[in-house]
Amino acid sequence: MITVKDLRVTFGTGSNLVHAVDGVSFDVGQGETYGLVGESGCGKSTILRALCGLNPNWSGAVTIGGEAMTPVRSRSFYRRVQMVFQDPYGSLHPRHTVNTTLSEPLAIHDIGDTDERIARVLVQVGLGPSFRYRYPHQLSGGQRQRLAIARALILEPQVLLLDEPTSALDVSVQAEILNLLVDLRERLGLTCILVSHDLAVVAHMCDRLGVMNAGHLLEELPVAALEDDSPSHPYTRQLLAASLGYDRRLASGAVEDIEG
Amino acid sequence: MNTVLAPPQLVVEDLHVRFRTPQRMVHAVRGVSFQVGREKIGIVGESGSGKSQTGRAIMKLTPPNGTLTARRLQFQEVDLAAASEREMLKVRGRRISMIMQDPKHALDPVMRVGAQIAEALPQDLRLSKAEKRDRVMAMLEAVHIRNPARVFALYPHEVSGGMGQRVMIAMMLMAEPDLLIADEPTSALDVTVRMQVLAILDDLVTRRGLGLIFISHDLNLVATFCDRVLIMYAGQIVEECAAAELANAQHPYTQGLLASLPRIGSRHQKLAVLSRDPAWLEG
Repeated sequence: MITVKDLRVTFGTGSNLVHAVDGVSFDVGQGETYGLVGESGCGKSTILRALCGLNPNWSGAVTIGGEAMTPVRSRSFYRRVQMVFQDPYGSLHPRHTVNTTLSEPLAIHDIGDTDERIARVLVQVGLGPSFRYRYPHQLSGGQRQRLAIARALILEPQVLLLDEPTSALDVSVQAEILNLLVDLRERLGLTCILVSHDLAVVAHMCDRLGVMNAGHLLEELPVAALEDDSPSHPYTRQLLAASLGYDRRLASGAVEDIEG
Repeated sequence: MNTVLAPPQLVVEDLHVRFRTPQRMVHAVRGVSFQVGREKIGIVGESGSGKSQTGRAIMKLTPPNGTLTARRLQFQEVDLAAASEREMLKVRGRRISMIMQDPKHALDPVMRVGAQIAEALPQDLRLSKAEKRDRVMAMLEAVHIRNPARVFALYPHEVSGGMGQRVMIAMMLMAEPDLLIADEPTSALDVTVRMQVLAILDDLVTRRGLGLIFISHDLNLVATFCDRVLIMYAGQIVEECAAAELANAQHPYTQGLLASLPRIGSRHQKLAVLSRDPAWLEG
């Protein structure tokens, strides 16, 4: 469904040139959920932004659904690929009601039966019709993220790009959103890429993942390898150990690591 | 552990924090009681559970639209509840320090790191410039910064997140406090850097015999890092237990939180969703 070959994204010029994504290649099958993990600044969100057309300054070869991607995307592209952002407090227009937020994509793409589609998508994400004329400030964090998911789904895309969809939420709300995403993915047959710094979230949602560091894809592994504790790359092992909690013995090797 | 024999550093009894908003009265902290010795105590809860307001109330940093009442709020020999603002100045930063969540916002952007740390030294020590510098250097070394002379002269925007948090810790320790309140000190950090910062805090607490109140929403982290855990829900402590025993928690809220965590190995299972029982609010 998605193939990425030798993707490169740079920011700045001259001595300020930063290789944010430095030759990354991976494939995502139809209906698969692929995870990208890594620490902040490793380039994982930059990959998503390049894939969905928010950042046209990339090189390499990307095909989605068999079609080669150009830096600038056509309108029909966005009917097939949609994104859910990290922060539901920042990604929704504060002065647009739920109804306005959801009718905008439909208006842009000249899609009719607005009423029916909005009602349907609200039920799909578990909000219900009573939320239709509310403003974002009247919604909790979890409800906002449901609305952001509804906005992505209203165009009935085939590919959903998820950029840390639960990192701004409490654990109990995170569980609700993850359950919703699993449910929608199965019901609608979505292909997803999930970016997260939380190994447990990726392990819960995905079948395969890529581990990134400093713009490079260090290794690709099936989630089963995390489950039986057999990742080969030392960095992946470090992430895995850290995700299990604090351990003074593990930290002792790491204390001196930062260059002062 | 000498925590049982030594008298507690801090005694909090029946602490309430209320906020007056134009619409209604918000009762953010509702009758919280606990004691802290020379140990690492964790306060966990979701956003809005009152954990940060509890931390702030101990420093008497409750915002002006809030009121603080407590039957007892005693830090060593100081009665914090009755202390005037003038008396609080002698406690705040000197004997109780607070580490904030994000070094990017908590450090002064136009002041060099070294000067900022030196500013935290008590004025009445009347140290010379060279003495101050020596103390700052020693403290930067204590938080494992390898090249203190270089970091001393940097501006906050030139240091990384992990280093910034070390600078904050160094600053908070300059006055040699007895109690440290850390409000989500590592949530803005990457997992591997988080481990290093926690190890530094851990060693400092052990070596200097500090008390540490560690406020966090991360159950896994608190369970593995702290000695004792308080679980807060809607402004109340619903459960208190030894950190190692957190997995066997009794309260349905704590159990619900633990069950809602995705784990490596939980693939394709439905996560338990917390259903909130109104009876929990009665406490």
